[in-house]
Amino acid sequence: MKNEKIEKLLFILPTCLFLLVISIFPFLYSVYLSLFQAKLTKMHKKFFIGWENYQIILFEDDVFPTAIKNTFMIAFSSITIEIILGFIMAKIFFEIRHVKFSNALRTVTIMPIMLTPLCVGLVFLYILNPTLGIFSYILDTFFGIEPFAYLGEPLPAQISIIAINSWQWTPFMMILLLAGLMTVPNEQYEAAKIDGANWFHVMTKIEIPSILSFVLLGVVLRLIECIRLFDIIYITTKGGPGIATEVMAFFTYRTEFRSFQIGTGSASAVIILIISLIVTTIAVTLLRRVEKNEGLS
Amino acid sequence: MKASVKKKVILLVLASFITLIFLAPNLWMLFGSFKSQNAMFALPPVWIPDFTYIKNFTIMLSQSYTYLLNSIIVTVCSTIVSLVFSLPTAFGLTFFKFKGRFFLADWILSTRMLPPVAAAVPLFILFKYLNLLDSLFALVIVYTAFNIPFAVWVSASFFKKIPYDLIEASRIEGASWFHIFLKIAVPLSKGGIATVAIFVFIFSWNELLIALFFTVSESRTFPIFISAQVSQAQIIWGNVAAATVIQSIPPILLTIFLQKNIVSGLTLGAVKN
Amino acid sequence: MLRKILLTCSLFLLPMNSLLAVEWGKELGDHSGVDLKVQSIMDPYIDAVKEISPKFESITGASVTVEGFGYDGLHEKQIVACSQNDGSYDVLFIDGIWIGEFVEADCIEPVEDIWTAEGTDKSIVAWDDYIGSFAGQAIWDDKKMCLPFGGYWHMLHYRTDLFEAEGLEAPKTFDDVLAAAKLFKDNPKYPELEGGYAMNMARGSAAGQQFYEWIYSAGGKPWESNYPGSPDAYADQRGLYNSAESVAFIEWMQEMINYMPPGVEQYAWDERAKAFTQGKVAMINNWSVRTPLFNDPEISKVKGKFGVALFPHAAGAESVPPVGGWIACVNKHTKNKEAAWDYLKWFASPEIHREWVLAGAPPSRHSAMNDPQINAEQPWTPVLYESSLRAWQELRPRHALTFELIETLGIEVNKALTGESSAKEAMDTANKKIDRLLKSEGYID
Repeated sequence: MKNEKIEKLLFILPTCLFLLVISIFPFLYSVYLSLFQAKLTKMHKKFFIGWENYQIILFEDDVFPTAIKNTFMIAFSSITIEIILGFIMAKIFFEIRHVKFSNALRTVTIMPIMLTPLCVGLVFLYILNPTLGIFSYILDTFFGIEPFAYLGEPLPAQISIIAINSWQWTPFMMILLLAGLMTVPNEQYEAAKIDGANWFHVMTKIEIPSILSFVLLGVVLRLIECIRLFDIIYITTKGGPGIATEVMAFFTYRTEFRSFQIGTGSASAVIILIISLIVTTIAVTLLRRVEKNEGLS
Repeated sequence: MKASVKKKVILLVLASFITLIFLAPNLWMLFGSFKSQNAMFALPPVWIPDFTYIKNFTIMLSQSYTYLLNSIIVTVCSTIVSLVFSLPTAFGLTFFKFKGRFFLADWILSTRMLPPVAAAVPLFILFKYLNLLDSLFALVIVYTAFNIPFAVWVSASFFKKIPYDLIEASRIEGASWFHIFLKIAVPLSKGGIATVAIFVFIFSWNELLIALFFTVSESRTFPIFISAQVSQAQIIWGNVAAATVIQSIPPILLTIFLQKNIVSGLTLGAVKN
Repeated sequence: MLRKILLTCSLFLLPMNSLLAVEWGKELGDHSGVDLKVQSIMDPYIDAVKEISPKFESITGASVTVEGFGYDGLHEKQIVACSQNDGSYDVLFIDGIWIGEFVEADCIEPVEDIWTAEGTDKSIVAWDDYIGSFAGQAIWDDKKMCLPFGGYWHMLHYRTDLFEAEGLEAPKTFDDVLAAAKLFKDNPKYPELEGGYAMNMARGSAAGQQFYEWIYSAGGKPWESNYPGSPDAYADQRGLYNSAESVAFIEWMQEMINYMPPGVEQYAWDERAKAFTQGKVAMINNWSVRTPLFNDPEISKVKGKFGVALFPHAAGAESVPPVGGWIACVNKHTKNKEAAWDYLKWFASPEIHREWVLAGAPPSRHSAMNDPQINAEQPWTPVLYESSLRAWQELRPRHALTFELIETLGIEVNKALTGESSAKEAMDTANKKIDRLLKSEGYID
């Protein structure tokens, strides 16, 4: 019995020790620094100020609150778009799932998910150049829309970020919902057909209820990613114009690495961490539920 | 019968159009990589480039092939090391019925929640203290730590699919846990392990910020090279385009060959094909 | 006339011995086995550094690796490493305005200390041969911290073919610039053009630096004691970001936007230069480091069709061209201090500097600016030289808060330019925020 215990420990302990050293240290150190007035260029002069960093970024300055607002605005808009478009796309690919090529088309569609965020940013920086980019050329030539600063005026910049974000992640929602549609038993469709139900009825009464847990799962997983949204903004709008696309992770980045105010930066990181943990807790509950529903499928 | 064929054709056209939307931006960068910088920004656009113009690639690769090699080494190593750590842990969390295993699983997942931006400086301090900076080894360790939570969760969800009776039976026959893990659990979860491997691979392949701080010359990775093309006086678009294309090859290949696994990877294993 | 006087004056400043060849074999130590690592920005001069470095390798036996980074990436990496006493890189090329920050983080071994201890020959460093407006950026607290090598100055770049066709001279004042921009914007004669002028307008450093670059020529100053020729620019840092001149300048920019290409609000360095080299605007102001690229037919369509002029100025003000650029420092934490210093003094010496410039890099010394061969290869050098003599070294703050100030200012200026707030509102906010920042770090009471 004793041997078994050791054997079991060997399965689990190495990972826990590894994470304790590598992952917990940054976490504790960030929390610790968030209570100090600290600048990276003069760490020996840091001094304890308690909650003041949190007070400053949350209540005395308008940038971080705007960043929180922007983060959730971008998150909710992109996720809404992703669900609607993702559902439509999933339906289309579901209907043609037995057709040749449909598999190839689907594979090409989901490629953006896996691409390097840095490269995605650069691709759109190239395309969205208002004077020389292909996007403004197409708008101008085929639709007669004069170029404007797609990344440089408040509303267009926000829309651009949401669009790029959705472009990269709608395919995720699509394959997720496609997996959901696959779980709908064929008999239900046939029963509906016999009853003469129209497509709207099929959608609202059969499909949506059975993919609801998939949608929820998609929402929380995407929310976790959106809270950490950084690379696209870093490359394209740099948080601008003004602070129209300033988001939490970008604020943390520039506080820590442009101003080197690592105390304030850590405070904002801890806030992101707390928000992420709340969302993750919800996610985990959902994950366990979806898994249970799926049973041993 | 005819109506349904017609419907399918319309849907296929629609699907093709959708595919084009998700393909076009990358395609435009791919075309750009075969153009001179003047042609990249020419108006009206040069729609179809001269695909024999490979100067961007030759220049870019001559400057960066060592970085590319580093990226491959780091990515492959951290994928293997992540699996070595995560699979046994996932196995343990699934089959050892000890108290607090749910809490442990949640704790492991929560270590992934600190934004990488915030982790960079503390990790730098830690690795400086351990005298491990400036080595691919350091990157492998950090990427492994970032990957473990994800890898544990996804592989655990696959291990759960193994019928418990199978495990019980082997235990009664006197098989050790290691034996069960290696001879039963791993072979039965090949698909799941492939999923984990792809995602860990992609994460390590895409990572920039930690690599920027942790590497010096010999150990620089490819994304650092790409980001370096954006300086203040100029963006070297020829290099950017060619490097973006090269950087995108592994993710695209993995998507093509293993697309069935993607959905389960993205949902931490909750959804399986 | 003024140019002639300045030129003559500067010739007197030139120490004659700086032009004599140095026996490098004797001057430099043997550094066999040392792998010298140089950290640099990926600016167009980096290829020239890589081109000439093998010479140093063959003299000293050291191997030299020059690594390029993006602007933000370089800054972050250098400061993070140095704050942890990391000596992985021996030589740090830093932007002149970062010096206060690097001194605060204790990253730099002052070159003045090294050469005093070593007793280096004055003709090798040839400090007086450096152009003052740039060399001043390498000095902190009266000590020469680093060797200046890559000075950039801003010049007005304009399309000679278009200006000749219209019978126009190169613009001198803000009014000239505005009139010319108006003329070329939406002019049916030039359907290729999208706008008359282009400026950096994007949020952050792009717009923030733009303010500092223009404010002196606009007749203003960023804070009380900072004006060209000020004996101590940091004596009184109370901000004048919302002064009448500042606001008038922002309003002038707001008017200029009408004559710029649509979408200019998202322009930063690369977009600005791209618009010019692709023939979409008639004029831009640009750092001289990129000027050689405008003649590269692979990336430019205006080869041989552009000229340069002094940075424009407001009526009643003088032209104060912006100065910036890169200075070479010895990392305080390096293990190869001697090799690093040898590389620096070799690389920045008048003789090697000349070779470097001839390999396509920007000149920073009087001797290089007056060199006939350099003048032949870079025909804009006379204008550049005059710009360099008129420039003011404290143009942008150089103390440890520089990045944060520029970033803060960049947000507010950008807001005014995108119409989110009026010029007055934006600059009032900027002044208030900067005031708070300076107070919190003790720069003002």
